[in-house]
Amino acid sequence: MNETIERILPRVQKPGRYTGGEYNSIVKPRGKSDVGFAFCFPDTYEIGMSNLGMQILYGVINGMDGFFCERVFAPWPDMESEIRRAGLELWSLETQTPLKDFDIVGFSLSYELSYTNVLNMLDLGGICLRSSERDSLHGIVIAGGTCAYNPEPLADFIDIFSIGEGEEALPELLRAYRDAKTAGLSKQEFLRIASGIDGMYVPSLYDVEYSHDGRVASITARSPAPAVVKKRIVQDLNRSYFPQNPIVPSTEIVHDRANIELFRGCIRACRFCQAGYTYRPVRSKSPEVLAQQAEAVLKSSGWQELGLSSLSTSDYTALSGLCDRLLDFCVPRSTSLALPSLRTDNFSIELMEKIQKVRRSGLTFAPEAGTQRLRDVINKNVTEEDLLSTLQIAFRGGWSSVKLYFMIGLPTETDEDVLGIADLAHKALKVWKDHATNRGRGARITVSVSCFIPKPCTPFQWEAQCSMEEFERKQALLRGALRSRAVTLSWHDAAASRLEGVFARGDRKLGQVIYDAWSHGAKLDGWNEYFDYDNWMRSFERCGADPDFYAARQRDTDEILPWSVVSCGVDTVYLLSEREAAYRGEITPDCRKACTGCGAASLLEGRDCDEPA
Amino acid sequence: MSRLEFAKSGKAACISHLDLMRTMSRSFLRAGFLLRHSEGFNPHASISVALPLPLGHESDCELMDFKLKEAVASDEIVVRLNRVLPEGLTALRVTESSRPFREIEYLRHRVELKYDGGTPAGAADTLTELFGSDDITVYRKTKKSEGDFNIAPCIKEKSFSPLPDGIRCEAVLTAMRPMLSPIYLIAAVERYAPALSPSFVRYRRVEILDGSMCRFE
Repeated sequence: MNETIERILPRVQKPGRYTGGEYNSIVKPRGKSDVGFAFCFPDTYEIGMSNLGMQILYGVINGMDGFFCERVFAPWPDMESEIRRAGLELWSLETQTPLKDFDIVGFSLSYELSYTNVLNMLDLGGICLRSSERDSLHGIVIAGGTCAYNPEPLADFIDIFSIGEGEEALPELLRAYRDAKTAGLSKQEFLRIASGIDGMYVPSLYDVEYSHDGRVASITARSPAPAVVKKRIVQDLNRSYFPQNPIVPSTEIVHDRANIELFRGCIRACRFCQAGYTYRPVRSKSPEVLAQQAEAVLKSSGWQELGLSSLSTSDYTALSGLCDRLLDFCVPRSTSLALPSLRTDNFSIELMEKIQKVRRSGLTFAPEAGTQRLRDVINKNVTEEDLLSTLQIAFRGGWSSVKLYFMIGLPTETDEDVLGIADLAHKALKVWKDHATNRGRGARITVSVSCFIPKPCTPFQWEAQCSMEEFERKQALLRGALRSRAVTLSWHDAAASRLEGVFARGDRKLGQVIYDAWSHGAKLDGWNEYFDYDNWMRSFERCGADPDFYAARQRDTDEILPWSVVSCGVDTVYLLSEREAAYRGEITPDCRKACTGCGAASLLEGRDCDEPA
Repeated sequence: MSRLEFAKSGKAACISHLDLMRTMSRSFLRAGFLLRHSEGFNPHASISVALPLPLGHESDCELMDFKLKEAVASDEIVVRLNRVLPEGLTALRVTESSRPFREIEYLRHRVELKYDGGTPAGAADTLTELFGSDDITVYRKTKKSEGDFNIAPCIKEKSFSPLPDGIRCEAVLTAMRPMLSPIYLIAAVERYAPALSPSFVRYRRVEILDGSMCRFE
């Protein structure tokens, strides 16, 4: 560690997040012509290190001959001012190399409110922000992750977006980069080559025209870029790379545990859920592979919690048997299981007993809406009876606190639906009163309410988002209806949700708003203490952009949507039919009951969607 | 109970006490050792570290008590731990713990005072004189109290020697009754000899001592 950095560390909060040196972090010996990849996560270390995707791609790239991958995270503002004051450049954890010295700088985009962090990290790393200001092949800036399904708001800053899963696509892109570097090609020449790789979207090769009212009039691809970029997927999860030797942070992170990934995709079709559509088709790992990977990752990391991750863990067909196998290994090591995404319609006493074998973790369920009518509209397919009987099992089993997730501002929502949330919470409390085994500890029911944000690639991508005032009115209505002290209400900030709504469905014109807001100090917008809504609104005004145009406007179904240049494999016609079903309050069965032909199965080669695990 | 002596330096100096406990229990598991766990609602490894080291300070002599589910030879524990510890943590030796931590009386510290503009002339002599006084009062804040505090009675030994770019101070300070952190040596310099206020300070704990100034292990 150089002494300048060493001197800064005692002055900043949580210095351990800036030093690297964690167990299993990789410092590769470098050949002169090796290609360096900076994996950038546009949020703090504690958030970024909890991301399984980062661990996967870090391992994939470092496993490639001639390439090395190092990590870079967003510094907390105390560290940022130290870096700026000392005239340093944001560095990678592994070797303290400045960001600008890497061949490729890659960002993982998990949520829209991290966009200013992308700009801030580039700036701190000594890299020009706009793609058009960077002429050299060195220092290509790429991005992937969930937000890449609408890449347009960041199109000014990112050279290449990788759409979909990166395990196979990223190595292909990196090899093409190395060839281009060896051949001495220009950045422009390389971008044209990259646009020919499946799943790569090069925004500078697309011309977007707007009509007088600001809507997209046309998107034209310049040859050889394809008109629509289809996402990449891994065909066989059993054989895809899994990080058996993950980096184990020496300082606490948000999800401080080992993770195995049971399956990708989701058999449910909750109409608000972007992940539910963009991760299709459903592909499972076999219990044998999972048990082997779990054992390996626990041995090599020493973590004492194992997360069984997926979009809906209780839908994994072999879950019970898998848990038994895992517990045989975990119990003697005092290692507990964490099942983060459970549904109330298939939670059992048996499963409950398994997850509390070593230590009892919190229980969280997501009914999402307060009335059956609205749950049908969003296709949540969970009944009040499911929820209450699940809670009965949990309270009888000794749990006394439970978290319930809801959304407000869903399409067709009325005040009755909002009040239904309070009603459901009170019913949950009654179940506790009737069935609790240890009443002395008291009940704690946490009702967490977020604001619905219409997202691209979902049946609700055409909907208007609730106004901020309306969100706040609904929050107040709900607050007034919750009477018990045993029920705690927490809610998401309506202003942040509105801004997220703007960028989720934004177009290229928002690039200048992001730039303007960043240059006026916007950063860490996902953190309450730094989110400054008024600053953002001033930027919209200066740039002549109307946030309501993006968030509060219902789109016509024939409108050209900015993100129509990428495809997640689900047909737009299908999304439209789901939207109509929502308005009729009709539910769509899960994929196991009947295939409803969303189109994502066409991404599979020589195999079926949701083949048995 | 077994007792591990380990060093914590470089990057590992930035691992806080709580994070160190987590890192240690994970490292034991990685090395293939099962630690005894507490009973109860949230079982955790029963390990305890003597005299938590302040964040950012280095040490050659940290002690941690632990208990394994099965007996393993001391040397083997050291070897296998060193294969799986993060950068900056080094296992030095494992012994049977015979004496309780409360018998610790003093800590020997090595404090390096760095001067960017060159070491002020006569610094070592001035410091020797300063710390020779029997009234060295600094503002001290602990969990229980805060206010002026005379550190002189807590300083058992001290010596100052020049380094190429500063001054090295070796000091034996009380560790328990009361615990005096070496940061108060610098606080005293800043108060009584502000011209000698260093640009940067490195702290290193080098030895743990008992009441008769013998090495505690």
